[in-house]
Amino acid sequence: MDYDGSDRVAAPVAVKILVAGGFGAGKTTLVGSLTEIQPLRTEEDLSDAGTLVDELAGVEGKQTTTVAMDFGRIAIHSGLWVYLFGMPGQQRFWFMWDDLSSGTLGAVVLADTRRLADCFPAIDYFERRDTPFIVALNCFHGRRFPDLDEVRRALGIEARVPIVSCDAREGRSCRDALVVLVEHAIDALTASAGGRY
Amino acid sequence: MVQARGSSQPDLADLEPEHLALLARCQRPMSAADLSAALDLPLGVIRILLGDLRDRGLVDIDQPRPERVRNIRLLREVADGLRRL
Repeated sequence: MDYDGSDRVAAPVAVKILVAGGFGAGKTTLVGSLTEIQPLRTEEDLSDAGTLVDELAGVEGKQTTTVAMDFGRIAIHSGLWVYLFGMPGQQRFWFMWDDLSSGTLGAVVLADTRRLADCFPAIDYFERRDTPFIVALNCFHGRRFPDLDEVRRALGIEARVPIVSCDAREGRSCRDALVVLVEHAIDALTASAGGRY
Repeated sequence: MVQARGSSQPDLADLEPEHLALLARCQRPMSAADLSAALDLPLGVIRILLGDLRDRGLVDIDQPRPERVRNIRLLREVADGLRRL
């Protein structure tokens, strides 16, 4: 940790990673699997908060919805923290995306194979902003995946964007997805710097 | 990241209880997100309260800096740190 010459503790460097994806893709679960602090739970009973507006086809078992956002924190060491922010998937919360994505390292776009098209808005958003992102197929409920290349074609994403499978409930699996994202961000930086690094 | 300035005689009159709770919690550096969870208040509310505290010179706020995520050495440190988890 830096020492700034006073008796104040220098602030740790905070790096921000976003978790995006459609409604019900598992964003809250992923953030909860990785974080070492009590995640800020912003899920509300669907019956109270969003039954009339949240499209449930394919995720009928979902009992709660994230009404604002959730976040988690991973301390790499005492001077370097990673913050994970879930980007609310519903269209009525898209106004928050610009704010959340300022200064971000990159994003994990979680995709649910039952509702693949739900992650198009997030993919489109990060492509337009030139924000490094990867697609992580959430294999919850023991679902098997279609071929990853098939998914790539269905989503229409470029070959350089990594696609991985993960289980949002498993910390190790989510951690691996984050490593892929950070490596991808490094590659993107290196490429844009024309190999200067 | 937010940290209280720690002036010796802060003028705390007419601050709301939530302001005081925020001040107490950011004696060490804290993120706005952590403060939001600790006080169980939405992030938007926390930002307004922190803005009030900054206007009175009671806290310093360090905004996210895009140049940090263009620092390859820092990104490598993050990737290596994550692998060790």
